[in-house]
Amino acid sequence: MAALIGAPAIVAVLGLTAIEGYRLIQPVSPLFGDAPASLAESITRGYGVEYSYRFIRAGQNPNNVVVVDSENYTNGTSITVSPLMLAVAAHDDNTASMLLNFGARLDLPQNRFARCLAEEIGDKAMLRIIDRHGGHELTPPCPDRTAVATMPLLRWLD
Amino acid sequence: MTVMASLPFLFILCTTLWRGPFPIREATGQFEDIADRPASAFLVPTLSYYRPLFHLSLWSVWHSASSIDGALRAIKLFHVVPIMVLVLLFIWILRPRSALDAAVATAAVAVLVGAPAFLGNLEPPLSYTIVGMPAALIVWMLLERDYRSWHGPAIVILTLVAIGFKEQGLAIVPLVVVAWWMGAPGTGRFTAAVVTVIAIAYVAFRLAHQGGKGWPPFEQDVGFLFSGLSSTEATARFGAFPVWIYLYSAASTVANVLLSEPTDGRFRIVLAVIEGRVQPWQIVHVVSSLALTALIAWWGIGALKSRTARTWSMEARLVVAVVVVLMVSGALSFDYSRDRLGGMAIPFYALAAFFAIRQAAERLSRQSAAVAAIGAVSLLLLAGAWQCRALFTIEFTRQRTVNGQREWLTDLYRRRTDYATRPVYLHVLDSMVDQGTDPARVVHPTRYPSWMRDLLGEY
Repeated sequence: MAALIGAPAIVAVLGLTAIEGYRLIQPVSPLFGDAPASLAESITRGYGVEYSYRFIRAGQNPNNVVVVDSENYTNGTSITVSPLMLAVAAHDDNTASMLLNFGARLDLPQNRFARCLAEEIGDKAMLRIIDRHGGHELTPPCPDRTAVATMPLLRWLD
Repeated sequence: MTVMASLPFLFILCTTLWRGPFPIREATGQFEDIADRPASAFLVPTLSYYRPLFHLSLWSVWHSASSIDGALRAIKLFHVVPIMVLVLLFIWILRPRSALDAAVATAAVAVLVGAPAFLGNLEPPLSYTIVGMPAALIVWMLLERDYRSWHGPAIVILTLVAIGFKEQGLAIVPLVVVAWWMGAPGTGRFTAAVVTVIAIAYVAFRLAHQGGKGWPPFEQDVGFLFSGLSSTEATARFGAFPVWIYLYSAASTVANVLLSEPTDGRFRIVLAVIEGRVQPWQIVHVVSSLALTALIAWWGIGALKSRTARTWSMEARLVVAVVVVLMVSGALSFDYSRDRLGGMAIPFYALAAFFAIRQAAERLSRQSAAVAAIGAVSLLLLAGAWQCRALFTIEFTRQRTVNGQREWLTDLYRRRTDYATRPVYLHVLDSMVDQGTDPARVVHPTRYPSWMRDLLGEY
């Protein structure tokens, strides 16, 4: 009887100890969440803002363009784009907020159409975030680019 | 064995809390208050919330620390130390002497740390009730030990500490009074009288300091049946005669401890069943609570029946203690129900779980092989379900630190602009950015296989 009642606790403690030991040895594993190889991968594959922030904290300039080659955002074409534009295209509100909190500037050429992109894809939450950082004042009137490209992100590349 | 089985859990939980960031919302405002106001400001209640000892403790730490980092570390101790004391003291009180005792004690520890009312009190820096929980357990230990002259002063001080951190500490007062009435060896009439006077004085003091307009009928959102009402909506709907909704909220807190449903006054799991979208973990939570509460009721009735006219056994006193602390915890949550408000009752519920499961195991060992086998498997499933809930406590706490960091990353600019006219707030905020955003401070939850996550719960 004692063995049966105690068995779940023993299984739990052995399992927990083994998992945490493994975490110490192999912190990056599917059991604890893969880490993205780049900021672009973190955004396009939806790792979450805390993973994206690791690149910024490690010194990556949030205004520097990154290389993206994604079926979902670029039709498989390799392009360079700002992390902010990519976050807007990915509807990643948290990462967009983080980038703006930690140095992304809406007045720079690579970011200046972030608001237009958010408007085109109908992301109202994103528009609020961009406007909180002065997007409404810093963004020039959005030109008509419907004929430029099929993917919204490609359309608003400067 | 029980300590060895509990230590990894305790270590992981405490290190998660120790390393994790303070939440930007709850922490910065609290720290602004203690940085900006004199200590005396926390002695006079100006709002319906009154936690003088909590604020004075934080104030002392904040103003005596050599740096804000040092203060933040010390404030974390208000969570980590009570948790360690609570779990280790709980095991020490049980003092398992046989293999069966040890096995049952591991299940009881899982009940203690797997309960929603425990999990709800793991949010630094809000250490209001997590300080009161071990205080109540120490009081219980003193009540049940042979009388010593220092027991009375110690019980009074612990009661004051618990009440000073949060009014939920008042649950200790009836505990002491009924324990004395039932002949608990560790206390006397004088101590019972002193804590009663303290409670009366406290309530009178609070009522006398309601402020000019008095307290609003509802301080926070109120859960009712399947939905929630904002405090404004609740006032419009129930404000004219709020007694029934107060009773509902109080009963909800009691039911949450006993049945894991409703949560915050809302019957979420019942609704999920009605809508055909119930999750395995919801069944685990409700069934494990229901089965354990039924087992405790069976044991409790037996313990009460076995007492003689003049003597109460320790187990009979524990039954009454569970009921009394649970009722008081419920009553004190009349304004709104939350998991965390049942916290003071959880140590007693878990103690009762120990005696109930042990008695069930002992009875089963005297039954026929078939009955014993069915009963043993039932107890195995019950213990397993509570271990799942204890694991959920770890993973949920980890996810909460991840969410806390996420808020720091996304909310910083808005906070800086919204509070631009409050220099102390901004100073506190800026001093805490590094602890809030450092990736090394959070440990992501384990990505168990989906069947395991289904059993643990959403985190």
